[in-house]
Amino acid sequence: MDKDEHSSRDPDWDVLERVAEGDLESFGALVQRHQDRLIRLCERMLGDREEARETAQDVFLKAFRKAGSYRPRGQVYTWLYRIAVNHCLNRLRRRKLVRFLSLGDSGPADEDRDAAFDPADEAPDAAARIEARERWQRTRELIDQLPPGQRAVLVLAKFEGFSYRQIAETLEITESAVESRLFRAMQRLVKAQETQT
Amino acid sequence: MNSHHNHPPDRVLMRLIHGELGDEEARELERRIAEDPELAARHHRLAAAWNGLDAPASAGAPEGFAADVVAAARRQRSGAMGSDVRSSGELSWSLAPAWARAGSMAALALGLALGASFGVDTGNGFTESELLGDQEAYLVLAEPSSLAESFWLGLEESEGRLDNGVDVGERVQ
Repeated sequence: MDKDEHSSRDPDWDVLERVAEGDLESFGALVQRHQDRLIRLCERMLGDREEARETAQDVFLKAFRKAGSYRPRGQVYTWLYRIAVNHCLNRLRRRKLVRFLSLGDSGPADEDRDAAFDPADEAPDAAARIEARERWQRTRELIDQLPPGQRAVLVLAKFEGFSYRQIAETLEITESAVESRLFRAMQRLVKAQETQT
Repeated sequence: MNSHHNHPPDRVLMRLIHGELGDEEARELERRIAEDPELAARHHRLAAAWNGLDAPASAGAPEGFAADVVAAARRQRSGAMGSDVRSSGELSWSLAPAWARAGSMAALALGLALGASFGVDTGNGFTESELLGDQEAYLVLAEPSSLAESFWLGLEESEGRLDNGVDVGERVQ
């Protein structure tokens, strides 16, 4: 994504106005335009393809309900990303709670984790796909150790290519808070990776 | 940015890795990294951790995803219109005798307790209250573990974190 995206009025705000008036066709077009990036974000936040799709659907439905009550500011995708990150953080908390209540069950079995988010079938051969899956699994293990706020910043910075400013706008925090969270996340990752190897 | 006469902090190295520095600053820092083995080692550790993170390409939205969302929005809208009609029942509620209201509240509390244990799912990933678009009901019913979650959030706050994972210190900056 372009890090220096212009700040003129995003035409999607006009679409959102029509959505607020009940125009479902416009809503469908908005979903089409943003569905892939939102699902990708949720996949990387949650590590589970099915859950990511459900979450993205929730995000769009929330946008549908709130279309008339949000004042145009910045880009529509930033607003959608903000809703998506909050939904993902809620789901992560719920997972944490479920683990807490299930008294030590540390989450899905390894085979379930494997099935949760297979790499898209782009790798040329089976060995490359296995390697991609293993890399993703290592990444997930590292990201899973991060507190939710740091995880959100890291995913937006690393996998969405957002600038500090864009992350700050999306999460409604200051750029220095973004820098601080990313730095603390990286400190943890460096330690964890050194332990892994 | 801090002066480069001393060792720049790791935050500045992270800015370099993430591409946040201007061209001139980046070139200057890269020159220093090339000349300073200790700085180069710190940069290498961070860059290795950063580059070690890898996510597979996303398959994106499945076929028919947008159509499903639009259909759910349509159901949500008709549900919301239905709830406007039902709101006329509020008057008869206020006129009901106290014993009837107390009984209803007890039944509701029991229902919520059961809902908290088993959830109220419509079978398509949405709770009934979400489809109805009833915001207050959404807060209570769409989160089957809302009471327990409140407890959990309380725990997080006591650890110095707010509801969205933002540090208290970060919020007030």
